[in-house]
Amino acid sequence: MCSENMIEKTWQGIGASSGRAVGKVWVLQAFKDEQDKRDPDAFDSARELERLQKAIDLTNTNLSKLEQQVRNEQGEEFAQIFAAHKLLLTDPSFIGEAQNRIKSKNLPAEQALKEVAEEAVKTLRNIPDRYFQERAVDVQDVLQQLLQNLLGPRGTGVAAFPQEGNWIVLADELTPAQTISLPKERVLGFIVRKGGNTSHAAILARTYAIPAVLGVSGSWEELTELKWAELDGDEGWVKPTGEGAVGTQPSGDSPEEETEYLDGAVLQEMVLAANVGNPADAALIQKFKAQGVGLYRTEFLFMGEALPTEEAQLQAYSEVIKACTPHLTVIRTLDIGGDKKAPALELPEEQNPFLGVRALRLCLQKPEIFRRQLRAIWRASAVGPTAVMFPMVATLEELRKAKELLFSAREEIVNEGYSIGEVQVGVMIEIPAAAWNASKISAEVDFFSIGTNDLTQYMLAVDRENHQLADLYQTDHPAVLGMIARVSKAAEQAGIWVGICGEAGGDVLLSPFFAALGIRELSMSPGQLPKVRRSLAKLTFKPEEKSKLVEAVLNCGTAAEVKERLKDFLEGH
Amino acid sequence: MITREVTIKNSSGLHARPASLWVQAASRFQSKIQIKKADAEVDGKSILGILSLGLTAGSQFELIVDGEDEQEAAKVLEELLASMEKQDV
Repeated sequence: MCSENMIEKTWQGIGASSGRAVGKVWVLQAFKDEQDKRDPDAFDSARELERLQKAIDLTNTNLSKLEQQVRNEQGEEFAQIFAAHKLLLTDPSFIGEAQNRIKSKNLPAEQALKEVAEEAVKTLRNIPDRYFQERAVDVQDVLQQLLQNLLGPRGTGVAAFPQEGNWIVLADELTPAQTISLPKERVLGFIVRKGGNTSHAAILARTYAIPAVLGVSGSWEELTELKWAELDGDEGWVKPTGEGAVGTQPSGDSPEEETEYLDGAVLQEMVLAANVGNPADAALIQKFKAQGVGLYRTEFLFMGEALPTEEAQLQAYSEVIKACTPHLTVIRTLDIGGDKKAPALELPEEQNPFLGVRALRLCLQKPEIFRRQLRAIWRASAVGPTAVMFPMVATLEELRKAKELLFSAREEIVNEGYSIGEVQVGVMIEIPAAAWNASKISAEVDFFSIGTNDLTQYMLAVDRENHQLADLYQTDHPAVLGMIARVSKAAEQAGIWVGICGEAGGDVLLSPFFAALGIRELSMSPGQLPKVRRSLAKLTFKPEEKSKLVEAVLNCGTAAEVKERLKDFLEGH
Repeated sequence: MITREVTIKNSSGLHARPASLWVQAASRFQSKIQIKKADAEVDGKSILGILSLGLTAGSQFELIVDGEDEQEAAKVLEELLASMEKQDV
């Protein structure tokens, strides 16, 4: 149990999703391979076969549930991964062979499975084609689930989440699949030792408005001694707490309570929109009263095992646009590459994927895939206000090429007799070269949306997935904010609007600075909307105060000074 | 027993999704279904077996179907490959 000094201990991490949570800790155990300690003389192959069958049935039930849930939440493409896993459970070369070995070699079920799976993994890895090599992951995934289920109800993994009660989930690492599988309504908060602010787990936590602290500094051994804990997803700390207290406290007011704030002067000039990843998020648009979608990440549609058809894309885009109307939906074209993989595209490994063939660069190399997406966007534009935004633009030539393809798709669609709506065209400003060149680019688009995640990563030369460099990943670095000011000025002079759609869009501390700059739209994870709205609603600027704040911030030498300035400003208001 | 020479023509080959479709189709028949490529021979109802052959675009293999419903099985599987080629899955 906790020693005296542990009670006082506080661990620092990255505040990845807003709000405070306090409650009992449930530890997500990574699967550990345990040696079979049973007496070999007592071996009973009939019993082993029975154990194996039970584990198969349990795994099959879990996979069916997961398949159904993922189909509802993420769409058909993801669901197919789990359907393929289920096929492995009836595979004569896998399960059949394992059963043979239990009988002929007197092996325990675990060992028989492991032997067969290891051989299969080896065979697949040796095939000189990445499609096939990657299927080894599926075999390992199914093996893990079977081994866990062989351990019975006291097993490990997400399946072991308690049937009752609300819990703080503590994990060494949290995969998107694990996050999806947890009953989110009973998760009070997340404490995750690995991963940063932009990891998938962080984004999912924010989407569901569950407080989370990631990249926690403590060792796994000391963290797992936590029985009751409190965490703050804004300030990024975790500490042990006494028994009994349970609950969460959003840092903003609940959506119902905040209507009175909706009329602030600053809010009248600004649009608070949501970042979404799939049509299932449409419910969150309404729940958190988003004024549109400032970033619709379409890549999730493309991450399954087959590419989405035009019809499937049309359906997905239309659903979000419909949920948003009368507000605008900004659809970002495919942003694959870098940290996001798409097996169906069969992309070669790159030395520096973040500097490689990603996003628009990839689309221009694969114009057929791009064309299908642009056609779907035009057709969806008939449903409501639509904008299209190109990611990873570095040069004007790329933008011009993309626009050419966009308008040729428009011509096709019109000629085929479909009705279409107006579509605004914008560029996601995330490469420093485009930001610097914003005044030239502004003449050829309707809006800018600043992607602060990548802009920060590229300006500070910090890999945003590398949690060892989390301290250096400073979105509030004066150079990044200076660049944003430059982009905003260029937009103002050209008479186009500019939004922020990176994680900085949901940063309460930075929001007065963005308001002072004249940024029109802040787009963020839906769960962050209440606190940003509440903070901006209380805000008023006296004459001259906007330019003074901007000047004061841009005169800072460090991110720490920027924070001090902005804190002072907020406290004075 | 029916033996057919088959060539994979869809661009990504018989990888996960196409192989899943194949296994689902093959499993509906009583007949024993074997796939033979060079020295290797695998169970045509096993996804792992099929994947292990690494049947990429252009690969050729021998399809051997043996059983009461062999005619129907061979026909359905050949049609499946043709439709995969057409849709290029």
